[in-house]
Amino acid sequence: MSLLDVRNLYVRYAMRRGEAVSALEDINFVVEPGEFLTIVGPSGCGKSTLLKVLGGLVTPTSGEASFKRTRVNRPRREMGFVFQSTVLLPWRTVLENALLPVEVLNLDRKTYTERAKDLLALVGLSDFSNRYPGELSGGMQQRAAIVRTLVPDPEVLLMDEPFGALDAMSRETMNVETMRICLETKKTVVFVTHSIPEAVFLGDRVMVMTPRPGKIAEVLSIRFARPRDLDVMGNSVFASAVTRIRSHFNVKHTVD
Amino acid sequence: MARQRLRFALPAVLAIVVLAAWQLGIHAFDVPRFLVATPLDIAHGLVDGFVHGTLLRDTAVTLEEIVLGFAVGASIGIILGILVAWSPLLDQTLTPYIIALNGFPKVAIAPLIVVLLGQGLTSKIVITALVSFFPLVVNVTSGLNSIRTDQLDLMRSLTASRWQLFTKVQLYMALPQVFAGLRIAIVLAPIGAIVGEFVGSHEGLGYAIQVAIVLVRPGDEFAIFVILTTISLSLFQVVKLIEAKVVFWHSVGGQVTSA
Repeated sequence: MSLLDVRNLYVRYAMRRGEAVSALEDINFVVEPGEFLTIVGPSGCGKSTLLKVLGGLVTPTSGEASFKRTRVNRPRREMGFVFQSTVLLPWRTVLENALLPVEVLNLDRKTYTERAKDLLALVGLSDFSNRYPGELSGGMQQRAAIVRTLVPDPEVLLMDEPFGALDAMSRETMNVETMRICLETKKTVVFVTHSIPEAVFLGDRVMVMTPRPGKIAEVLSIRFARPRDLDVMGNSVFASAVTRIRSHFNVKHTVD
Repeated sequence: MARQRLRFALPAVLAIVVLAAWQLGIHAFDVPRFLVATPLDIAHGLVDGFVHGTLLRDTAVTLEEIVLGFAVGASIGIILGILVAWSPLLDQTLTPYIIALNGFPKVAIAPLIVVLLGQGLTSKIVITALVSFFPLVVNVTSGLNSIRTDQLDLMRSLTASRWQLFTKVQLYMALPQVFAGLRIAIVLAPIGAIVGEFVGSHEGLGYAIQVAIVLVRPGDEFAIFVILTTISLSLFQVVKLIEAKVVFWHSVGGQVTSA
């Protein structure tokens, strides 16, 4: 049984002058349990909108997304979001930020404080749990945000360009980290990015999207075993996958 | 270090120069002493007023009016601001009146308030509150609405209720603007108290000013100006100190990245 199922999904936005802009057209795909699906495409291809539909933050115009055969029509605890802007609350320490979902969901504080501390250790932030987000580097902030998402133990992680604001080197480190964390915690992941190498490096499958309107151009299976290290990027199979994905954008659109 | 010292030294030098010029100018040009006090008259007025006169008592009375009136006005402003931000219906219902009330010169109804509530503390609190509540309504409302889309998405994705969104994010996001409002209001508050005392009172600094004018004692009068300035500056500093404690994250490292 697939975990996520998207069928005939359309999202249109009404504009000011009455005309509608089509953000997503005829989207169909499934995500299997434990899978790491990356979605890659240029700005405006509707990939973030698609993620918000999966997370119940955006209601589709027609068609539907379902989670375990139940229609997604509101946010639910089983889905955890990681946003590009970390959205850490600057008045809370790292640990307090990680416990925000515990407070919102009224979970047992004691049990989950232990869990949060374990997770902070997993991402190497143990020594920073009592610091404020403003004192952390961009990469550390994003790791703290990932811990916050993991604390209530969601089944699916929806990651919206989480490393888009990081420099290239932190970004590669975070990719390796993300793969390790997601394997260790056995999460199903849908990961949106506009970096083709990032998509190929992380994904079991890469879903390529083209813009205006947002459509699926191709879905590629990436057959390297996970966990992977950065060396696979030098592999010719890796390079040909990247080239193939890029061809979708060079024909009609430029990647921005 | 030298720069730090200059920051204090330059205003001090300016003060000494101005005070000296003032003192000498009044003697040199033979300005009538019943019109303008010299710095020495003011110093005398201060010492005499505190030691032999009623200045201590008057200062305490006025300070109490300012602080209580400010507290009442700020509380009402904060509550109104929250209500307006919380409910679009209340926003539409109340906002035209709040704006009208702000446009109205509130000092104009001070005599009416004194007639209705008497010459004591109550009328001064009401006038002060009236003068100082408005900046808070505006700042609380816009502060609560300053929550960002990504914060809203985060809280929604965590299945937060509206109340949780309010208490865990909106209130904190509003705090910097709330304090900006408090800083404006604390400077307006003394105006309310003094006007209230002008209109009708038996004690307080506003009353003391009128007495000094009637008795033609410009030294006493200017001494009170000095006290009022000191009160205003001190209260403003107190608000700023509390702000630095409460909105501590504005000084912790840089801003949290937001793309």
